[in-house]
Amino acid sequence: MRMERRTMDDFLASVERRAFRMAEFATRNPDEALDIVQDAMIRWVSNYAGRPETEWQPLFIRILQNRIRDWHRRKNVRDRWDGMRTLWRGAGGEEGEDPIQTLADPKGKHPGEQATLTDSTKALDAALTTLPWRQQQAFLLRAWEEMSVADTARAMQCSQGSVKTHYSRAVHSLRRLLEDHWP
Amino acid sequence: MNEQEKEKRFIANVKKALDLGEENLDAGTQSKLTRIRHQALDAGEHKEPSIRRWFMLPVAGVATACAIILGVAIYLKPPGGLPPNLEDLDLLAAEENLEFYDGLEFYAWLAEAEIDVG
Repeated sequence: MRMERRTMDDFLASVERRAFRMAEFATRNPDEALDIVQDAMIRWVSNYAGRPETEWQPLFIRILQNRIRDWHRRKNVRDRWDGMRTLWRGAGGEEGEDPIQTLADPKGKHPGEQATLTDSTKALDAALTTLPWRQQQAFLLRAWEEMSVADTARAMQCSQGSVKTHYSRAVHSLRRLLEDHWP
Repeated sequence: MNEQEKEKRFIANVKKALDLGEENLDAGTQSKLTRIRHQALDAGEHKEPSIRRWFMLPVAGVATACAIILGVAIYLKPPGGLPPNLEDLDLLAAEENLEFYDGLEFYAWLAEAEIDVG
């Protein structure tokens, strides 16, 4: 039976900001992040809203993680193709250069827009975006969503061992990058 | 403070900072999120049955009909012989028999003519 629109709206409103932030960390692009969140919402409403409410959150997180993973796969293909095109044209290009590092920061927000954010929050945002996306998502799901290793593994569709490794590496990197803020 | 406690405190600080970032999402992004949420709900409410579902319906119907016809044919099969429809197939497959059936009208006329003559 289809749930009432109001109930679904309330649920999605309660998870949309966090979902957006997770997708934004993963893509470093607010527009791409919005697309991912919208796609996850549509899939959730279409396929899973009839499930018991206790399952909504884990299902939504899993859909979101799938969308983020798909986005990275497509990006990898695009990057490989662009790399081949660059080689073909003989334009060169630094070997081993990480395309993510060369992306312009799309968070070109108006001055003062984030005035309320502390320096530590901004530093954390910057540090998170330098992590490989699997480490980043494992960290966000474990530390922010407070999900168990098993639930995180299910959401990311990987082994529990991988989650532990990603999380541990993420914590190590973040502590090093943010030691000036949180020693 | 040992290493474990330091990590715990670090994670608590990170969590607080992430919550702050979430709370301070700019108005433009919040407005876009609201819009896409409503669009998602609309899309879900007016969701057309998928093409695959529509496509599978006649396929499933034809498959069921075939299974029923086959079942009936096997059930009605005379003992020791081929089912009638298979015998028909055998006749139709033989080229000379088809020619015979094509000229059936001629043979009928010939038989009548012979009777009249006789």
